[in-house]
Amino acid sequence: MSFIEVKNLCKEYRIVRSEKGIGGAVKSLFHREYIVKEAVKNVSFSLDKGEVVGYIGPNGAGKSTTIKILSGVLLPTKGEVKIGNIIPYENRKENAKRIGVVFGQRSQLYWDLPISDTFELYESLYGIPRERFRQNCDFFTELLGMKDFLNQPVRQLSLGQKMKANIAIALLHDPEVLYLDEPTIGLDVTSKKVLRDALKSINHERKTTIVLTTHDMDDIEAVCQRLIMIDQGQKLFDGSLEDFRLKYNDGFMLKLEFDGCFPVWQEEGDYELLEKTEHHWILKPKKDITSKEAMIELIGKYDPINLYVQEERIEDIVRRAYMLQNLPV
Amino acid sequence: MKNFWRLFSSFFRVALRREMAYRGTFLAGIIGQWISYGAAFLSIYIVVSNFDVLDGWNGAEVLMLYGLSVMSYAVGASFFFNFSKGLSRRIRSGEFDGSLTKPVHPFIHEVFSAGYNIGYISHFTISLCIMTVSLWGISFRPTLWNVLFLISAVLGASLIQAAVLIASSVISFFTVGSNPVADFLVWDMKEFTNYPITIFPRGIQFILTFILPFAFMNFYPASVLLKKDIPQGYPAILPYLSPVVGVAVFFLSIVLWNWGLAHYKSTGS
Repeated sequence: MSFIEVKNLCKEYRIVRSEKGIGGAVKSLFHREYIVKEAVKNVSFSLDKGEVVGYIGPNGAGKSTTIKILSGVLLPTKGEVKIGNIIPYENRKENAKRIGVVFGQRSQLYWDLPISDTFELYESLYGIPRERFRQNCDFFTELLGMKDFLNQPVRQLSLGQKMKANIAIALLHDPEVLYLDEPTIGLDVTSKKVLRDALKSINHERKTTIVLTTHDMDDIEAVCQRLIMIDQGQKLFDGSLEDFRLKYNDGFMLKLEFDGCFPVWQEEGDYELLEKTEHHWILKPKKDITSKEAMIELIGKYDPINLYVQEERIEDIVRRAYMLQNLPV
Repeated sequence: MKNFWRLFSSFFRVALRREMAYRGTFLAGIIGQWISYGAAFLSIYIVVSNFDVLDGWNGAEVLMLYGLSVMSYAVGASFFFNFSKGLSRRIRSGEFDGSLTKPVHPFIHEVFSAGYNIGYISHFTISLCIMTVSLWGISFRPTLWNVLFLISAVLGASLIQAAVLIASSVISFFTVGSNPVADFLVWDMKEFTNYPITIFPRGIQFILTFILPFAFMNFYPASVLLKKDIPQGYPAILPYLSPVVGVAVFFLSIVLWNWGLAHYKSTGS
């Protein structure tokens, strides 16, 4: 049996249909019509202990709703969730001891106090043994590079520093699962890297299962072994990053760089010109062709000084996958 | 229970440090409260001393009603005001979801993390002044029984004030805006209790005793200490029941809050 089991999970919201104008507003005081919105439709998956899973999908796909059900915040409309044999929304407290949650930009820190004070509060909130608390404080301070700002009031911290602190407090009680809802949103490149490396080593050293939602595919490539994609509440893909590439990838791109003598692009049936600048072109073969054949052909024709073969970025693959799903059938 | 106190003291320390972070705001708040409650105190005092006697109650006696009301509000609100007023904002911002991922009951987590509002020390000191003026005016005899009765009445009244704050926050689970009807029931109905309820029509006496039992905060305990009449036909035991009513409505308000929480968990608001 898997560590996390999600079976036929459904979540419906009732939304008041609002009518336009003052007339509509007055009317809605007396009579309200509701629209049922299915945020999650029949989603099933199972995770093993120690897996790192990227849970992706466009805005409003149902990612956060799933995380909220998994962490015991919301009740599902239908279906079943078990985390190590505990049903999170029925045994909320038991579940809470075993999970760490970071909800995007909503901070769990106290604005006017230094992070170290919030740490101590979490020590008593979770009843963490003193010795273990000390060890974990040192470990996460070191891992996330928080030493310099541990004693500054939170209001003076940057977004990246606050995110690091939020991740640290979610992990102080040694949870078995860590849920992260868009942990890298709004962070700079360096902070993102620190966070990704930290997540990898947390997973590696502590065998913490990690479920993270994100819009940044670099997060997925850097941290996750597995990908679950949902859109409009339904699961579209579940598998390894490799399988995802195989399924949605259609080929490779070629980047040609030129020095001085810039050849003229000849309208070709076989290649699509994706990008054209002063110094380079990016081409995509339209026909079924190996990269070797394409390289020989293009070198012969245009004589570039450099030629790179680029695998499609996961970002582009995901974008296409979303588009494919939304085509009218 | 041991954990509860450990948790309480941890959160309490944090709350104090937060309040002290802005000394200026803190002091200005206290002075502001002094001015506004001091003015209210004066206006009631002037009204009552001009009328001389209000349905058999003199000025010092009516002041006791106001003193009890402010004192119990100071105690109840210092624990529950931040919690009650902040809930709607925390639900909207999503911070409330954080409380549902902690290994304690969300009510306890919300109350503790909202923080103890030390600013109510101003209400408390004002109410001490009012009570002193009133007790001196009625030549209060501090016998053991009288003092114990007064303390238990204040505690019961504080629980009623707390219950009102808790119950009025429940609306946040259902709608995002504030609710003027609830605000009226809570704040304006309480205004009636600044005067002996026997001066009001029977309907209002009934409401203040059995529906929104605000009269137990001050009128009934004061009627015992001052040996005043209660509304005709009401059981003679009523004036002694403040602590019981306090505990009962406090628990009822938590039941109501949990009911709102269950709604939130199934709808996501």
